[in-house]
Amino acid sequence: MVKFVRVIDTTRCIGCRSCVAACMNENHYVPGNPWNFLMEYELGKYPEVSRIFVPMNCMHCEDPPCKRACDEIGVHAISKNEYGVVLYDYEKCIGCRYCIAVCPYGIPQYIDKIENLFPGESKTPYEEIPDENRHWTHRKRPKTTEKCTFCWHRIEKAIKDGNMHLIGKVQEYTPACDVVCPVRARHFGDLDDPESDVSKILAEKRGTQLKKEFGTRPQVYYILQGGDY
Amino acid sequence: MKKLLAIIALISVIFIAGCVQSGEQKSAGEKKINPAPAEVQIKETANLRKIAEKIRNGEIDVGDDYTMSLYGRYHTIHNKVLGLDCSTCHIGGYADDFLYLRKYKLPVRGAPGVVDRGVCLGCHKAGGPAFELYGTADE
Repeated sequence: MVKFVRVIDTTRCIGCRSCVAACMNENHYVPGNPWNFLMEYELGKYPEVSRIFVPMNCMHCEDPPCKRACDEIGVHAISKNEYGVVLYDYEKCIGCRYCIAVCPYGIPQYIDKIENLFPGESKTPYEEIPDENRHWTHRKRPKTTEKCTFCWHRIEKAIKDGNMHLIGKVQEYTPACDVVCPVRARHFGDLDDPESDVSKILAEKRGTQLKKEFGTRPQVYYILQGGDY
Repeated sequence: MKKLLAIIALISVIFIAGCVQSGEQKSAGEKKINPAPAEVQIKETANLRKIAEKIRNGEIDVGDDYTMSLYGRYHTIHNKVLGLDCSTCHIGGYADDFLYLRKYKLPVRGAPGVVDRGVCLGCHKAGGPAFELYGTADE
């Protein structure tokens, strides 16, 4: 079995937003709908204050409520594949936004209309890339919902190339946000492989999942200052 | 003799008053421990299950507009059928440390506020009266 997980070490994160930029560039960002977002807030009271940075993206829950809601109304636009990646099919999505209503992490983004990256100007060559030259996860449609895919196009490539053992280790097979982190606060890999970085880090530091009370069992682990809760 | 009778009467009054007071305290204590009898809670949950079942099999018509519009199915079920007030779900804003990616987006323009999904857990958790959206939290 393979279980891809991401580990984000908030004790190392410096809030540079490289991961946010990399995600936008890699995944054909639609203005207003980031797949990766940096939450930041302050702790304490002057003069003893600190800042916390928490990058957020899809948790690829083992029990995704977005998929349950989508299936309940018979749309079946959301799937969770054998590698644990939750994917949205834009062709099937009816834009009901039920997935948005039920996600405790606020992940799914609704595309009302696709606007140019630079308002009032023509599209950049990057935006002009036709659908047929894009991976299906990047063929975005207005009136549908989108979200992080764990860079499925990269994982898929690794599987096709027979290089699954290099996922999380080699740039072209690892999600864009995880490879650009300048302080090694982000890690991606197979949790079922005891030799993977993610397994070792989670064994060494006590990682936790966000909002465990929802019972969604996220596949993104956070290392927090206060440890697990 | 009169004095003796008066003392006996006084003792009797004090004794009766004490008994009444302790009885009141006991019943007040019971109320605190169990404000709504379990059978009432079970009946209420059963009622909600019945409503949910009637919505599913079409006995209660909630339309087929699968949108988040105020007149769509979603708001019809929660607001019109179940009678939830807007403020049950919509709150003014999130706390600074609330980890939610769409934190700065209002659900729709003109909505009465953002929504904390914690309120959904009441009915949509495992074993709840509504359909199961959320699993069971690990120990």
